[in-house]
Amino acid sequence: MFLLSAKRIKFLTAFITISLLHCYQPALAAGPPEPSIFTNPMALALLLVMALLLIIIGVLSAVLVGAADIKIEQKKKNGEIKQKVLPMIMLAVLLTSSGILQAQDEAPVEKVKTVSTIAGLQPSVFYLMNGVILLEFLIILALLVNIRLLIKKEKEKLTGLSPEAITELKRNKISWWGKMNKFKPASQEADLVMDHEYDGIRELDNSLPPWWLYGFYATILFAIIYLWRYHVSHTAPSSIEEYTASVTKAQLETQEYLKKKGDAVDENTVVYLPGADDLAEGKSIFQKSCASCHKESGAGDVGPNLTDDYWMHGNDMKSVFKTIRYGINAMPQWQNTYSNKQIAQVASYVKSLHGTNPASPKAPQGALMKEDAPATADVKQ
Amino acid sequence: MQIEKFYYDNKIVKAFGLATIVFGIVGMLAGLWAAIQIYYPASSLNLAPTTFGRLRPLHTNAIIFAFVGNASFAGIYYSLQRLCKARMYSDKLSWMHFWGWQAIIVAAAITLLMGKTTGKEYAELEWPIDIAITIVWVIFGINMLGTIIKRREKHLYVAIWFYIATWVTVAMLHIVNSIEIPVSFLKSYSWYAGVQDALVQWWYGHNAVAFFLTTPVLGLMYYFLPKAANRPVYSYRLSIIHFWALIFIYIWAGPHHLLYTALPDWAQSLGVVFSVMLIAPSWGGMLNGLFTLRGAWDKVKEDPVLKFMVVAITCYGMATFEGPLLSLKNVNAISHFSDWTIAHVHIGGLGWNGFLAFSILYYMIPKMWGTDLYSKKLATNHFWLGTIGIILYAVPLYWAGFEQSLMWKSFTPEGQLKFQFMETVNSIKPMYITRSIGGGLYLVGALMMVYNLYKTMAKGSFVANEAAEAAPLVKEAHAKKEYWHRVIERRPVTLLVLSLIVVAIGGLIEFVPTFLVKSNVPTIASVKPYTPLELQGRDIYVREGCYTCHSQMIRPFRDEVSRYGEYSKAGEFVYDHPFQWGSKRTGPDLAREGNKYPDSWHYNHMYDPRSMSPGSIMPQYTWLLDNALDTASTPAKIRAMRTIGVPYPEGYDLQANKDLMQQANSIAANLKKDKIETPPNVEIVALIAYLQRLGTDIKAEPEKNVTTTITTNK
Repeated sequence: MFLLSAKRIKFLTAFITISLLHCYQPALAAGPPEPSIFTNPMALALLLVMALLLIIIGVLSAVLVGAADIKIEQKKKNGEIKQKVLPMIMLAVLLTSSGILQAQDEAPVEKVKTVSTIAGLQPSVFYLMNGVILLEFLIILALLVNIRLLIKKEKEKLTGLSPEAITELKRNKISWWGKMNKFKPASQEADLVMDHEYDGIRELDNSLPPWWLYGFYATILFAIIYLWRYHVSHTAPSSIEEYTASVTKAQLETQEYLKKKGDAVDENTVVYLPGADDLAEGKSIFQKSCASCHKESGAGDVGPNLTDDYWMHGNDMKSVFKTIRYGINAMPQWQNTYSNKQIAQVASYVKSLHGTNPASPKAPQGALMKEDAPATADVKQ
Repeated sequence: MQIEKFYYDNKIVKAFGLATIVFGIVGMLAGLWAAIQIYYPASSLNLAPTTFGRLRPLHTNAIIFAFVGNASFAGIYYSLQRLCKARMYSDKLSWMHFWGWQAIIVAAAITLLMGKTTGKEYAELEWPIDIAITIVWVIFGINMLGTIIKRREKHLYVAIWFYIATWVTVAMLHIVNSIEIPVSFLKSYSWYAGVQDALVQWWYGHNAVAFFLTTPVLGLMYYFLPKAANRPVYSYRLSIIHFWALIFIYIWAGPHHLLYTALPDWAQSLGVVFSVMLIAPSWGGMLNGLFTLRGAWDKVKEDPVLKFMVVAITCYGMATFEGPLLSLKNVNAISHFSDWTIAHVHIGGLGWNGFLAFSILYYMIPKMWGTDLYSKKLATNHFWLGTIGIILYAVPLYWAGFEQSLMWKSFTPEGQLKFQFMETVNSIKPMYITRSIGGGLYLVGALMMVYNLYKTMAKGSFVANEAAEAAPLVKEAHAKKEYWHRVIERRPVTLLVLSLIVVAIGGLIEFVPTFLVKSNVPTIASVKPYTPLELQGRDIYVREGCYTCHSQMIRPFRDEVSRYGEYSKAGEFVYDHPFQWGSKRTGPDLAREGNKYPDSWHYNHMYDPRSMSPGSIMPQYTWLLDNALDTASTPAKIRAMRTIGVPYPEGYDLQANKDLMQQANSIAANLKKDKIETPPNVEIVALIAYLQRLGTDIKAEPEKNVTTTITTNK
C-alpha cells in the first residue's frame, strides 16, 4: 500500500487539492460577511501557513511522482507492473464520502453562531483551519515516508551488499520500538522457542513488553488513588455534590448576566408587548412549541382554544405568562426552554390571537372571562 | 509407543460455519433495516413486528448469539479437536448442541418479533428459551470437557483456557441474570427490581461482551493467527498474565454502564477503576496477536486471512482502549445515552468480531474442502469494502454522539436550555444516513464473501472426517519440576474451577452489599406499586421495546434536571420488574413523563408522532389503538408480582380488573373531552396510564421546590 504508483499519486494530488478546496469553502463561507476574514490577523496567519504547507505538498508530490516514474519504468522493464483498480475506487469512495461529511458539517457550523470567539474567529472556523493544517502535515508526512522508501531501495543497492546480507542486517537491528518492547533480534528466535507445540503452533518465551507492564502498574495505582480520593479522603466530589456545585455556579452566572442585561421581567412585572418584533418572535416560538397542541391558528386541539372568551387559568397577561412559564396540569412548563422575555413574547402573541375566530375551533373550556379579568381561581374542566 | 489413528469431525464445523454465514447476513440485514428506520420511520412498514423496538433486539441477538456464537462454535470445534489431538467427545452431543442452538435462534427470532421479551438488553429471551439455552450450554460443556479429558496432548494450549473460561462464566452470567418469575408461557418478570436489576443486568450485559464476544474470540485468535501466519506465538508468559488478569478484572467493570445513575456511588467507582485496569490485560491479547506477526508482515500484504485478522485485532485494541476512557465519569457524562456508544460497540462488533469471523471462515473452508480460496482478489476487495464500511459507519456516529450530547448540555446565558430535544435530533439526521451507507457497504462485502466461499466449496471436495494420528496420553509420574502454570495446564478441571473462582469474586463483592445493605437503596414512602392498568401498560411498553430508544434515568446534571425534571432516585424503582433505565436516548428521557402532556397528546402521538412533534423520528404505533387489552392476564400478573415482593394486598389479584376498568374508563372519558372516542379496554389506554404515572410518585411535593429554586432566575 505504501508505494504509490504514478497514476495514484496524480490522483492523490487531485484528491488533496479538491479536499482542500472543500475545506476552504465553508471556512470562507462561514465567516460573517461584514468584517471579512481577511482582516483578522489570526486568520491571515493560519491561511498563510496553509498556503505554505500546500506549496510544500506540491513540491514533495512532484519529487515523489518523478521518483516513482523512474521506479515504474524500471519495473515495466522487469514486467512487474500490475494494475490495481480497486484501491483507486476506494480512494474515490473516500473522496466522495469526505464530501458528504463536509456537507453535513455545514449545518452545525451555521447553528453554532455563538458569541464566543477564538482570537476573533468563530470557533468552528478556527478549528476547521487548524484541522486543515493538521491534515496538510499528515499528507507531508505520508509523502516523506514514501520518498524515503523509494530512496532506501536505491541506497541499499549502492552499499554493494547482497540482498541476503541486507535482510540479515535488518534482522539483527533493533529499533526504538523494539527496545520499548524488549524485542529480541529475529536471529535469536531459535533460542526463544519453547519445548512444546500444539497442532504445529509453537510458543516463544519473550518477556512482557516493559511499557505494557508499567502501564498495567500505573492503572492499578490510578485505581487505588481514585478509590482513596472518592471514598476514603473524600477529596473528590460525589455525583450529587458535583451536581449541586454545577447548579450553584450556573445560577450565579445567570444572575450576574441578567443583572447586567437588565432582563428582569417575571410574572409580577410582565406587561403586554405590542411591538411588531415582539409579536413576530412570539409567533415563531408559538409555531415551534405550541402549535402541536393548540393548532397554528390557536383554535385548539389537544390543548384548549386560545382565541375564544373561555379560559381555564386566567386570561390577563400575568396569568398567561405564569401558565406558560410554570405549566399547569397537562400544560408543560417552558421555563427551562425559553427565557422570561421570550415567554412574555409568546404570551403577548397568545393575547393577540383573541377574537380571531379561526376555522374549526375547539369547544370552549374553562370559564367565560372578559378581556383582562385577573384569574380569581383556577377553573376545573 | 503405539500411534493411534483417528478422525477429526469436520462436518460439525461445516454446519456451524454455514449457520454463521446465514445468520450473519440475517443479523446484518436486521441492523441495516433498523438503521434506516431511524431516519425514515415509515420503513417500519407500520407493522408491529418490524418496528424498531422489536427489530433492534432481533439485530443484537442475531449478531451476538447467532453470528458470533456460531462462528465461535465453528472455530472451537475446529481448533479444539486439533489442539487436543482427539475427535469431539461425542458426535451425538455435537449435533444436539448444533440443532439445539439453531432452534433457540429461530425461537428467539420468532418470539422477539412477536414482542415476547423480558426487556433486559441482550437477555431479552423469555424463560422457556432461557432454560433451553442452559441445557444446550451444558451439552456443549460436557462435549468440550469430554474432548479435553480424552485428549492426546498433555497440556492445554492457551486457546483452550479461553474456551473453558468462556464456558464457565457464560453459564454463571446467564443463570444469575435470567432468574425470573413466569407469569405464563412466554411472559415473566425479572426477580430483581430497579437498582438491583440494573446492577445484575449490566454485570451480565458487560460480561456478555467480555465472555461471549471477547474471550472465545481471543481463543480463536490464538489458534488461527499463528496457523495462518505460520509463526510462533510471541510470548507464553504474556498469555498467562493477560488471561488471568482479563477474566478477573472484566467481571467487575459492569457498573460503568450505570455511571451517574441511581446506583450507589461506591459501586460506580468500582466500575470505573476496574475498567481502567482492564486496558493492559486487553492489550496483552492485542500485543500477543500483533507481535506474533513479527517477521510475517510481508505475508499480511498477500493473504486476506491475515489482513482481516490484523484489522480485527487493531479494532479490538481500539475498542478496549476506548472502553476504559468511556468509563471515566467526565467522558461518560458526554458519551452515555448518545450515539457515541453505538459507534464504540460497532468498532468491536464490525471490526473485532465480524472481521475475525470472516478470517476464520476464509481459513477453515478451503482447508476442509481440500482446496484453495476461489478468489483471493475478491476476498481482498471484501476486506477493503468492509474496512471502509466500518469507517463510514463509526465516524459519523462518533460525530453525532458528540454533537448531540453537547447540544443537550447547552444553555443560553439567560439560563434556559438552548436546544429542544427535536432540534438535537434534526441536527444529526445526516449522520444517521451516512452510517447506514457504511453498514450497507459492510453487508455488501459480506455477500461477496458468501459468493466466494460458495465457489470455493464448489471447486473442492469436502472432507467430512479428516484423518490424523497421535500417540495416546500416558500417565507418568511428574517427578520433573515444571513451571507452576504448566501444572494447571495439564489439569482441565482445576483450570475450570480456578476460572470460576476468579470470575465469581467481582460479582459477589458488588452484589451482596447492594442486595443486603438497606442504605444502598433508600426507600421513599410516596412510591407505590403500579395500578393494574399501569402494570398492563408497562408490559406493553416493554413489549414494544420502548427502552431501546427512551431512557428512564435522569442523571444529576443541570441540563437533564432542566429538561426532564428532578434527577432519579434509587427508591423510585423498587417496584420496577424489570428496570427500564435504557441505554440510549434516540428519543427523550421518560423518567418523569407523567402529567407532562394531556392524555390526548399521547393518544395522537402514538397514532402519528409527527402530528404532535413535527420532525419526530418515532415510529407509529397504530395497532395500540385497536388491540384489545388482555385483561385475562391481570390476576396472574398481580400474583407473580406479589410473589417477588410487590406489596399488593392479599386477594387483590381477583379485584384488580375492577380497578383496572375504573381507571380505563376515566382515561377514556378524559380523551372524550378532547374529542377522541375510544373504548376503554384497548392497549393505548393502558399505555397512557403507565406513561402518566412515570416519575409522578415523588413529583407530588418535594420535587417542585427543588426545580423552582434551581431554575427561577429573578
